[in-house]
Amino acid sequence: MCAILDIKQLSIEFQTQNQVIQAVKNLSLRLFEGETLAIVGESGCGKSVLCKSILNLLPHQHCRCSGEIQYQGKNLLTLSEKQLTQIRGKEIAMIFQNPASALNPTIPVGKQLVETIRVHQKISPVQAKQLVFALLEQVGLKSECAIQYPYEFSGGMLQRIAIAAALMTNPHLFIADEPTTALDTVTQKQILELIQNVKKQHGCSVLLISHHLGIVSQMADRIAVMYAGKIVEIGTTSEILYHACHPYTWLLLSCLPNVNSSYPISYHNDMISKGDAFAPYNPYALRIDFEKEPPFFQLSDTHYAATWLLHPDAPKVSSPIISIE
Amino acid sequence: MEPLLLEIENLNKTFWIKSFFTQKQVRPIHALQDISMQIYRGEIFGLIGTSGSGKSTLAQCIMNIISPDSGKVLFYGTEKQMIFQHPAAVLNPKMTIAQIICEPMKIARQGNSKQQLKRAKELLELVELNQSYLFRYASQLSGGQQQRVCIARALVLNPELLVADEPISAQDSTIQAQLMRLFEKLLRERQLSILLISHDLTVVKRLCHRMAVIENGKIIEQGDTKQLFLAPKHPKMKQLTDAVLQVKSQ
Repeated sequence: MCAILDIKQLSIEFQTQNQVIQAVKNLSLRLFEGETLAIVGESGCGKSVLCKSILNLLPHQHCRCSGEIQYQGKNLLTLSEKQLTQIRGKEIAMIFQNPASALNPTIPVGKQLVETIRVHQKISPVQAKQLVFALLEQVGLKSECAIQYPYEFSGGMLQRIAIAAALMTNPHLFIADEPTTALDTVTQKQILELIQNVKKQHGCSVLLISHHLGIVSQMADRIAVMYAGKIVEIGTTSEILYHACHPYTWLLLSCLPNVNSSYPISYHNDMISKGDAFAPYNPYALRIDFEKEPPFFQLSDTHYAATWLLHPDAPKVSSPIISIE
Repeated sequence: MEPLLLEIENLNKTFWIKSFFTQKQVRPIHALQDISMQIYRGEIFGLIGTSGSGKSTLAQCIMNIISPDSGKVLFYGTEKQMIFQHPAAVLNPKMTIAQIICEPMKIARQGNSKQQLKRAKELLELVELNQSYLFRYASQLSGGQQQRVCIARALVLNPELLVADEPISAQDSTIQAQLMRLFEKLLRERQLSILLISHDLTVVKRLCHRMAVIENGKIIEQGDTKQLFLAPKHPKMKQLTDAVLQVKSQ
């Protein structure tokens, strides 16, 4: 399978008044054509920073990026603003957690969509309008919605409009950053079905960011688990959900309301370790976890985990996940 | 059955959309229509529904934040408290956690400052926070820790009823799990009654003894949680249970 996005050794640092915060540490990741890759992890682990770095949306004056983000043979980190405009929104589209903040409140949504199309395609305003009507219908909205302002829509409808805006240019890569967190369960399911349909119709790849394992289990082909700026485990959806090997993935699974687990959930995320960042909360931590960062251990062709527990000399530990109801 | 703590009878509330220019009432929104329900002592009662169905309006009527147009809210206890979805918006950023927790005791003139601080320490222990957090500010805590402070503050005057308006949904899954365990502990140790408002059915299924489904301001189904999940009668309840996305067993 061919990789549409190849992230190599990506590190991102933010300079604050008092300290340097390393949001992403030496991260390598591949997204293949036509697949949905989900990145899961808690708030502040670097998921959104990673997404924004792909589109080069991070504030350059406060942050420093190193490594490579290869997209169709081009390193996105080194492209000029003009070159990026050709890719951003056209080949790689993104939808955000809060769609209201992505739309201008003073302009009708149809006008905003026409404006976006005409930035990327040389078509007449009439053709652009027709395209907007067709797209709104594709995402389950009436064409009359085009003359309405963002405040006149519910959260779910706004997210549909954001998806319509992202689809306008038939992107190859669709990044969805927590697209349903602010929505109720019924609307959430409708939006996820819409993203699935879009993927089927357009054949694009999807990078889905979420902290909700229930959503991810229904949507993703592969799952990458992120903790403190690093990927700690990656594999196919069934490998991560049913054969997880990293203690942090065990913690995430144990937190699900329908999972019976013997894992102790006492976790505040305010301690730092020199070695494995998760070591202070890991009940199975070895001495080496506090001293040295673990490398990736291969479990199958698709399944990798960064934990010293997988070292041949480490004591054997079985998964604390007892059952899923 | 345990004694009754809260009884709601035929509650109605209508909001009016006013014209921007003339300020005349243009269109009514029937937020609550003929709501009747009961909460017993020592139970967690779940209230679920989609956005805009009237869940928060009902909570605000129970807490006397807004007045209903008609109907009764009968409370058979002495103290009720509320916690909200976004703890950061509730906690005063200029006050330390100790000041935030002690404030209700100062207003109610309970004990001297030494006794108030001792009580704040006890409550922090109850919500599983270290005592070193007493002299921190809200901005120095994570979302889950802030929500725990809100719960500690809500418990300071020993309420019998806690109205929790989406206390869990805005949090990470790890924090959600910790808060769910905390609610179970409060129920076990304090015999507290909780009205849990949520749109997350997995949380309601795990925590609540009984529940009600609200849609367009009307309660369309209520009863035992297990029964409602096993055999939902109303099509909306069926739609809600079908929409639950959770990791399935292999």
